Order: sequence, then C-alpha cells, then structure tokens
Amino acid sequence: MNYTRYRMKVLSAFFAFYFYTVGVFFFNHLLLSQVRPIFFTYNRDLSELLVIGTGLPKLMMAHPGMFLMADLLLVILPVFLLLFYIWKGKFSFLLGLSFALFLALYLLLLNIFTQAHQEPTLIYFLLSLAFISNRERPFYRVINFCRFYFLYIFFSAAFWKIARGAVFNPEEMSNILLSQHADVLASGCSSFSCRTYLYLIAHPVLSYLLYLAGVLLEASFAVGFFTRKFDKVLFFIAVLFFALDLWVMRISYWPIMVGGMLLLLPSVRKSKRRSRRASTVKLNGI
Amino acid sequence: MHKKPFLYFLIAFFFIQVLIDLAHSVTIFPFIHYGMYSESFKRADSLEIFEIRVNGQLLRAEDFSIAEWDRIHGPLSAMEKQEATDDFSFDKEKIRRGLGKIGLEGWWGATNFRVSNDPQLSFAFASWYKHYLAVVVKHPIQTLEIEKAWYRPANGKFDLLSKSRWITL
Repeated sequence: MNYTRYRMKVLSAFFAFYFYTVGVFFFNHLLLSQVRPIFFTYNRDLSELLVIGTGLPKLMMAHPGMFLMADLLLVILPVFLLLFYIWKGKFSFLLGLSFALFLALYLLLLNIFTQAHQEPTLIYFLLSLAFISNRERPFYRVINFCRFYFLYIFFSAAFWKIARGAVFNPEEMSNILLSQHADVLASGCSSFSCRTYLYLIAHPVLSYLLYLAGVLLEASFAVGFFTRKFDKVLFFIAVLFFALDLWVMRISYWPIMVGGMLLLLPSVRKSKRRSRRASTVKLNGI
Repeated sequence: MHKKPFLYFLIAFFFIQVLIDLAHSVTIFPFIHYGMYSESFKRADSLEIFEIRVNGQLLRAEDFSIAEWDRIHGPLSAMEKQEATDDFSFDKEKIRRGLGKIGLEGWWGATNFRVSNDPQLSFAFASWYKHYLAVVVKHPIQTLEIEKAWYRPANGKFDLLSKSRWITL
C-alpha cells in the first residue's frame, strides 16, 4: 500500500470514529452547549489547572454562547481539514495544528465541566497530530507512536494492578463490584446483569478469576512491543475486553478503539517497502 | 539511523508517562494514568447512594441506560465533591504555595475570582440540576428530592444505616 493510500485509510478510519463519537456525545446530550455547566471541578491535572488559571471556564459560564462556539468548532475544524485535504490532496499545517490543539483544549474542558475523563478519548488527540504534516516520515512516526501508545494503555493497566498489589487481593473484584454497582444493587435487582453482579460479589473466587483473566489479557499486549505478528489477535482481545468492561463494570471505553484500528492496518514498514517498490517499478517502466 | 530520533521521542514520552504514573495523584495532560482499579480494594463498611425522587417516584438505575445513569449521577458526585472540599480549597492552597515558591503567588491571588466557583453555587445547582435532569428522564419535573443514603452491604442485601436530605425543589 503506498503512502497516499495508507494515509487515506488512516484519515477515513479516524474521522469515521471521530464523528461517530461526537454524534454519540450529541445524542446523549453530553456536549458542552447541551450540558451548559454552572460549575467546574479540580481534577488534579496540571494542564487543566492551567486552563482554569486562564479564566476560560469562568468566562464560558458567564457567556454560555461560548459553549456552543466550542461545540461548533469541534465539528467545523475537522470538516475544514477534510475539505482542504479533498480539494488540495494534502493537509493544511494551520488547520491540522488548530484541530489538534483545539481537540486537546476541548477534552480538558469536558473533564473540567462534566468529569468526562480523558482515558478513552486522549488517543484522538495523539492521532490528530498525524494530520499536521504532509511528509511521510512524521506521519508514519505518529502512527507508530499511537500504536505503541494503544498497547501501553493495556500494558500499564496490567502493570499497575500488579505493582500496586491489587492482583494479590483475592477479594479485589468482589469489593470493586460492590462499590461500583452500589446504586444499581440498592435500588432493587431484577435484570440479568444485576443478578450477575450479585452472584459475582457473593463468589469472590470466581470474580477474582475474572479479574485475573482481565489482567492477563491486558498484560498480553506487551507482545505487541516486540512483534506485529499478533496485532489482529490483540485487536480482538481489545474488543472482548471492552465488551466485558461494559457489561461487568458498566464502563464504556469503546471510543479508544480508534487506536485499536491501527492494529488492523498493514505494518508501516511493509507499507513503506511496498511504496518504494511501486515507485521503482514505475521508474523502470519509464 | 533515521529511526533513532523516533526511538528517543518514544523513550522520552514513556519516561515522562512512567514518572507521572509514579506521582499517582497528579497528571499532566496528555500524560494521564491508566491505573483504574489497581489499588487494593477493601470491602466497604457502608456505601453512600444518592436517592433521587422525581415527581415522588424513585429513579432506579435499571430503568436507564448506562450513559443515562452516568448523566444522572455525574453532576451529583461532582457537586458533592465541590461542597465537601469547600470549592477545592485544599488544591487551591497547594497551587498558591507552589506558585509562591516560583514568585507567582501574586498572579494566583489576582486570579482568585477566575479560579473559584460562585459562592452561591449550592442554591443555583438545585434548579440547574432540575432542568438538566428533565432532559435525561424525558419529562417535565414538578418535584425533585435528593437524599444521601448510607447502606451496609450484608449477604447480598443492603441495610439502611441513615439518610439525609440534600436537595428539595
């Protein structure tokens, strides 16, 4: 696959995920102009503190029209970036940079105002850096980096569960489930999911085995640091992990799968090699 | 040869990431933790639950999607934290001291208005939440009551320990 085609594939997949995510936020009334927040929180993130220090959150609350402006920019900037790419066949440095920086700011504001943590969406910001430059090498570097980052998310999650001792606590999952679903359990239990939570809480060994399996699945992503052979398997492990996370923990991490799609793309090295081969064939043809 | 700068960038990024991970309580976007549920969880003696009554009817988690229930609960947890921490005064004091060490204490003092929530927020929150909740439950709200209830989990059941009224509209 040559560079142009590869870039187009990444671009299409990214913006399909991006607009789908924005759409889900819109239909769930989670965009800033829909929430129209009247207070903000400190989440112990220094970048967020910097944003708060500039007075922007306070200014936005005083002028709620700014929430709508922010939401519009969230859609308009990438649309302009795409239109420019379709029209000129290349990225605009200014539009690419504006989009990446604005996306970072929006994610920070979303957490400041609505406590929408950035864990599932941060990778959108990292991937958006690929659309700043038109040169082949920086593009592939960002893609490589994001693939590594996606693997690191899982691996570090497993690492900290081991390093901080959670994995050695036989009652860990049972206790987590109790805290996580207290409001579901206390208001009367009739659904299959709720009865499953109760069963797992009452059977700590079984729930611990589930936790351990989760840690092993997360740790298995370390293999991706050394080889790309198992990327497709890792992709399906990620899908399975997030499906179980949604069912057992009621946590929706699916937007992060924009990073997972990098596991389905051919390796950057192979792509480069094929691209070079194709240009050699063309030159020979001339 | 051309791969080295990328390798250095990767090493630097992950080095900072690990440092931030080790710092535990503080992050610097885009270096954030993925360490949810990695601390050893002890069984809670009591669990706090928000009991929300709309037009006299108790809202049940099972009647809402995960996203809807998160929307119902999210602002309440955030507001409770805001009240319990006296508008995050501990964090603000830490920042003031930190900035003082680099000679910027005055700047933080001058921006105090910009970095603090409205002192009358608790009153405004109740009516804001009522409007916000009406969108989630998809019908107008005449009365809204929110109580904080503490339960003790025992053998798959929840024994009520105490309740206190929080919001009534």
